[in-house]
Amino acid sequence: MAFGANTLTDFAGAASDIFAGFGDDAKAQGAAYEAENYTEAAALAKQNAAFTVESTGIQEMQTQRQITAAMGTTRADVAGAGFANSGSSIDLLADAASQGRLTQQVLEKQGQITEAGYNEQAQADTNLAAAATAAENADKNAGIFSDITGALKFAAGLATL
Amino acid sequence: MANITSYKAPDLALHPSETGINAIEGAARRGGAFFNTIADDLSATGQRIGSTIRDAGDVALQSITHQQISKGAATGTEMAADIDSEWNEVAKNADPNDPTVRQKFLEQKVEPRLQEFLDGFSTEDSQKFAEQFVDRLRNHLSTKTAADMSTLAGEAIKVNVAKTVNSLGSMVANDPSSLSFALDSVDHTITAKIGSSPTLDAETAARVHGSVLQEAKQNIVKAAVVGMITKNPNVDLDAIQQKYGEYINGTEMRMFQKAAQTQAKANALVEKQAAIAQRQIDDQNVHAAATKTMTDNVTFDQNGQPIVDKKFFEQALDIAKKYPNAPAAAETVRTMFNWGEAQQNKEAKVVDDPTVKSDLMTRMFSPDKATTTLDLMKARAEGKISDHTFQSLHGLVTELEQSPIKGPVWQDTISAVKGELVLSNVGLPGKDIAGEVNYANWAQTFIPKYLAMSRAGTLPPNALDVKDPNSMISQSMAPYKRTVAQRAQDYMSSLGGMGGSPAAAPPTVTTKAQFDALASGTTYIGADGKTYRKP
Repeated sequence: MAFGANTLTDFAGAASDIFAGFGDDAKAQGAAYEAENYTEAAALAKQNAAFTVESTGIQEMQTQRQITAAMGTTRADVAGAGFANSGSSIDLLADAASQGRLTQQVLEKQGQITEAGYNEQAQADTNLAAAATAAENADKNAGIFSDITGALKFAAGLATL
Repeated sequence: MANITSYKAPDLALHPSETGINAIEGAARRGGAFFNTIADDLSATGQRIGSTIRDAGDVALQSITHQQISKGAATGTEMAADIDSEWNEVAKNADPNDPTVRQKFLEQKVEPRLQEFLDGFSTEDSQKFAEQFVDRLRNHLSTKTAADMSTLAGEAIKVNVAKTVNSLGSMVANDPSSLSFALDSVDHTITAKIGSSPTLDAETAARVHGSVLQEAKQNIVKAAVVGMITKNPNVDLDAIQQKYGEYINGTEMRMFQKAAQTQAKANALVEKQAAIAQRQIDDQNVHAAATKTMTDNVTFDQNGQPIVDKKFFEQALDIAKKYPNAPAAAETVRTMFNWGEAQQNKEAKVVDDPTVKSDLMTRMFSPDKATTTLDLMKARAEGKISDHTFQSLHGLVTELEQSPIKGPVWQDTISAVKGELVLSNVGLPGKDIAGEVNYANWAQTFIPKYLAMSRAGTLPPNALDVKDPNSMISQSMAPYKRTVAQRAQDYMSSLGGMGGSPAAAPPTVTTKAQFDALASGTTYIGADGKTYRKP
């Protein structure tokens, strides 16, 4: 071998690959950065899901108080009207109770829906973080291989001298 | 009257707020978007940096590539030249039949350098250039080294075959009847050598086989024909041409025949000259042997009288036996015997003959006919020189044989000295006896001294300058120089007196008393009838 066009191609390729390796490292850092942020976003989404459960519990408790208060009021009204707890009175109480259960069920379901939405967001961010991590690893590998090919081309160029 | 009660949802409740959740989710969405923006910015920055790297790098890459290719082109060609040169050196000294030489060179010498060359290029395009260059060079070297090794192997086979052909050629030259065997052998040998070469490629093998074999057969046939003609310069060549016309033509054979006939004549002349030369060598050996015999077996007593060992005659005879063909052997041995016998049969004291002594002295420096020990022995045997003179001159001859001074300069010098000391050309009969004696005495004094200083390297530059009164030779001549009056008196004395009357007959001396009564320099007749001069 001798100093020639191949030598120049080798050294040029070595420089290109080495800098491409630097670029791959930068991409890996970017992917790591994205993964870190998506992981953090997923954590926040999970935190929001927890907040939603807690908030639904509060609202259910408030609704239960409203139901209890409403049932008490109804009994008082019936008693005040001289009705016994029977017949229509019973129907009224049952109907009020039924209305309260429905409200509670709606609150509970809405809470579950909101929680599920945050969980899905958290899962989506987790997935993005995983994807970014995978990209980071791929970029790191690409950087390593670029360094290797750069070194090999440099060596090949030296070998021609 | 009571009525049915109706209920309303209580007002008191908790109301969770989604404000925080929404805010946080919004923060998550917006925050992620911001980080995505950051990531996009970082990616875009990376893209821009990469683009900048590519653009700026392209410019740098092209510049570096151009620089490396420019430099590499020069370096590569230099390397290729170096490797080529190195291979040529390796191939020059390599065994052409060793196939690992090329492989080792390519693996151990070439590849490391090619790799080093490739390491110098760092960009793709410059490396591509270098690899293409190296591939081409590698292919070139692979082809070249293989071809070179093959060529060298082919050359080696040619050399090897040449040795075989030389051997076979010698064989058929000595024994022309073995020609058919030699031709079969060379065919078999060359084919086997080429076939067994691990580095010879097919193309080179075919080329070598074709050219070498034909040439080898031609050479062998020619050698055989030369052998036949040498044995019989007039041999009939037609039959040979009919049988071996493929390898030799009639013109060549006739040329060989003519050369052989000429050679036969030349050989006869050479043999004759060799015989003459051998006789000359034998004469020189005889002379050397005579000198050695003389030196080994003759000594001198206090009075200068020779003492001859009995082996002298045996060894003198051995000279004649050892060199029977030497022309000078007989005379030399005869002279030695005469001299030896003369020493044993002395009856009277011999007086030097100045003329003979002067001649012997003068010829000592002659390049053509130098005085030898044999000449001295001959003169002594004939009673021309005394034992004392014989001993002195023999010492000079021995010294001059060890350190010859027989050049033209020396000849001129000797002539000049003789002219100074000896009176000549005066228009009168007779000789300057006293001058001759002085000349001989000077030579016996000066020459040993001159030779000793010459061997020691202490001769002054003007040693032989007779015109310089302070030179060594002039100083040595001084005691022997005479005035004009002395010369004239000596000359007249030798003629028998100033009146020029004939000299009286020399007295005959038979006893010691008669000899003692004579004055020095007096000529007398001894008991043997020969004439002597009292020293």
